[in-house]
Amino acid sequence: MSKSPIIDVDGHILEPSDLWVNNIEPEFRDRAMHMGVGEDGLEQWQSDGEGDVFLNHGTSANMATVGRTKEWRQKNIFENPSVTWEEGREMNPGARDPDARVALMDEEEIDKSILYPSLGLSWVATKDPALAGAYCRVYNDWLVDFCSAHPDRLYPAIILPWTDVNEAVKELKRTAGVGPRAVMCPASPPHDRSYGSRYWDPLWAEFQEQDMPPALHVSAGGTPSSSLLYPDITMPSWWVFSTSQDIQLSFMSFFQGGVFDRFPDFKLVVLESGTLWMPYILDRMDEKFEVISFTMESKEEPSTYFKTRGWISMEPEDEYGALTAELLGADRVLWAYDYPHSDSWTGPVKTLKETLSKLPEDDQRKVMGENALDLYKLN
Amino acid sequence: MAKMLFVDVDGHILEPANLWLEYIEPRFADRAMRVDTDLAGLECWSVDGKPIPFFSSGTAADAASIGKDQQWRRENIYDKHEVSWEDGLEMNPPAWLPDKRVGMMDQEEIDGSFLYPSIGLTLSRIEDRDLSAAHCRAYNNWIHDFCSEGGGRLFPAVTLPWGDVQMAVAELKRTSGFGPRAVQAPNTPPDDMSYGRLRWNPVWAELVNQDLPVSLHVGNAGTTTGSILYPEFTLPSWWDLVTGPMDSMLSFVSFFQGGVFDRFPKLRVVVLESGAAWMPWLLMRMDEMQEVMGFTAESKRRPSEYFESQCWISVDPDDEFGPFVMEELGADKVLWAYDYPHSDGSTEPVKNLRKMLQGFTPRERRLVSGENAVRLYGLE
Repeated sequence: MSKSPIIDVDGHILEPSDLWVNNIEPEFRDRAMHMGVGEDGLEQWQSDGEGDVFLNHGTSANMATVGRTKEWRQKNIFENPSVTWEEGREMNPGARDPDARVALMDEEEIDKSILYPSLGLSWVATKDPALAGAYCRVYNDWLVDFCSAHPDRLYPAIILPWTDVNEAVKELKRTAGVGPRAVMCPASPPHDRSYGSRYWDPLWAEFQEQDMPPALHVSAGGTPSSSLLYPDITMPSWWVFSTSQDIQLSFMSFFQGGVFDRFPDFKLVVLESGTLWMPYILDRMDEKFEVISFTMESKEEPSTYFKTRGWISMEPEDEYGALTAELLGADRVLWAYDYPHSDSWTGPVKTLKETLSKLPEDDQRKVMGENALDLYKLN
Repeated sequence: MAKMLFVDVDGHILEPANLWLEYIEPRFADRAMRVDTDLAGLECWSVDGKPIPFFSSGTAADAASIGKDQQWRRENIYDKHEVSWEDGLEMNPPAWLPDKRVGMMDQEEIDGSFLYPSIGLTLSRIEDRDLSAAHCRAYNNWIHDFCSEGGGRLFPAVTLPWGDVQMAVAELKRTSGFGPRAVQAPNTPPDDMSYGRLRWNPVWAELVNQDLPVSLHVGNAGTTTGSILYPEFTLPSWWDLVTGPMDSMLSFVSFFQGGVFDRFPKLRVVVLESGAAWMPWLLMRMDEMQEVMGFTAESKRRPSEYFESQCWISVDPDDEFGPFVMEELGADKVLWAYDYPHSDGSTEPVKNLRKMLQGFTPRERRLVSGENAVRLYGLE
């Protein structure tokens, strides 16, 4: 097999907790995000006087536990929270230092990585649009700088202030010149405003203009579907991680609202939510399109749009990844490591090769890197 | 070789307009469900004088439109409102006349059918609990009478007043002499009270006591996931049909979060009408998360282990993922359902099912076509 690129489309960094306090524009300094202490005396991420419901009770460092056992995590992060955010960063040089990241990638045989946030997954829906915009500028500038140490290996996933569509468009435009990049799209839309609604059109137009796909990624945003049955479970947990209905709902809302029709060059990436539900949901959406399409806005069967304009990422150990590539076409599948979060496993490329081994070599190459190379123009 | 039995685990009836008027206890007669007229002057079903949102605006008859293409339905039902509930009944005699149902089953080669309600899927939404329970009693008595005229081939799915646990248990006990039956659980629980919570223990205990499986079936009692993004859709819609399975998934996962299968190792759960290809994926995801964060859920073991002994799922006969689901979950875990006469049921179910089963051993075919259902529900 000839050498082809191996590209992780969804890795993470761990932000320095004082990033915003040190770098935000002066008028927002008093309100800047920082790692504070909650009422229980344990670490809590705080923004504009409010505590985060997910990064709370001293468990933030759960996002730095790649390679740890469940037992270790239970003891040191949850039962007796004794690992601070900064200690979690210390444990994972690859998540805080570009040289160390590239060294880790060399070891793991990864050629290129697109880097998503960690703390940044929680504040995408910061209420005040101006403050949200300021947060994003600080973060994006820092991340672009981080990646610039190895411009042919590391690529930033930009965060937008999704609180307000105009602020989001502004930041998308501001970062247009930074070179190849990805852009994160919250799993559930802020204000529970469907991505199919006209409200978001200026943003989809700008994505289309820049030939850039938003990537649906697990994060805060609007009302999580998991909260319907367990409003009391907001922390990192089996329940929250096992329910990925938000991404599925958001994905379907693009078809309900006819976004792919209004924007004929609009593309969409779906990350970190498993794979096999995608052929199932496309099939169901098509089937129900035959039953009652007059109550939705897409002109064609949903799978038609996905065939050329949708992508989904698989985890290396996903035993249905190869099947999904067969069902959707290998052109549609990317892969992601998720380092250093708790649900990632070391040795991803070795695992990925095994998982994909039953596919033809051409298809393996597409999933391992060629698709990402084209999609994000990483050359 | 033994003859293949074909048991449809999820068919529907269409309620005659006077069902509740005739069957409900007299003191509730004034408030009984009936065919009515809404504020816009269009036909609706109402209960306690209030239209039922999903069956209003002159579109209730969509539930009776199997075999009609969407242009026809759009024009005649949604635009012109020209098909009344009575017309819908006329179009589908097997949905409300037992002998016609059996005749249709003969034609379609179906040996047995479990019959779920249509309008009755909303009974747990009735706010007044006494009224809800009275409607359930009336419906269950009616469907019991209906099935008793089916020559032993029709089996009722009883519906419970899930809004009140004690009343639900009482109705389960009251109907225990009905013979083989199914029990429907709404795929969104009342008050958004997760099925994993201890509140439901008395219901699970009684189901186990009667050795009865419970079916998660589309039919909302609580908040739907789809309504988070589109609260304005209350009539039948594409959005409603594609997001319904999200509710089934969420409710299904909640059984593991709450450790229900640990507390009730003999409880059996059937997932209906939600597609099936997501199940192997969801089990894999839940198992993986068990390795990562299992200590935050109440289940002791990997969810797939409970599934092996305590859960089943139904496929549509024309589901292209049917064979995959059988291979992944095992033929002993898969049932099939026709969904007659709802608009998204496809016709010729047994012909389609035979095609789905082509590549399997005779034993596997017999399990899916009928033997699983026979065993699960204790049929003769």
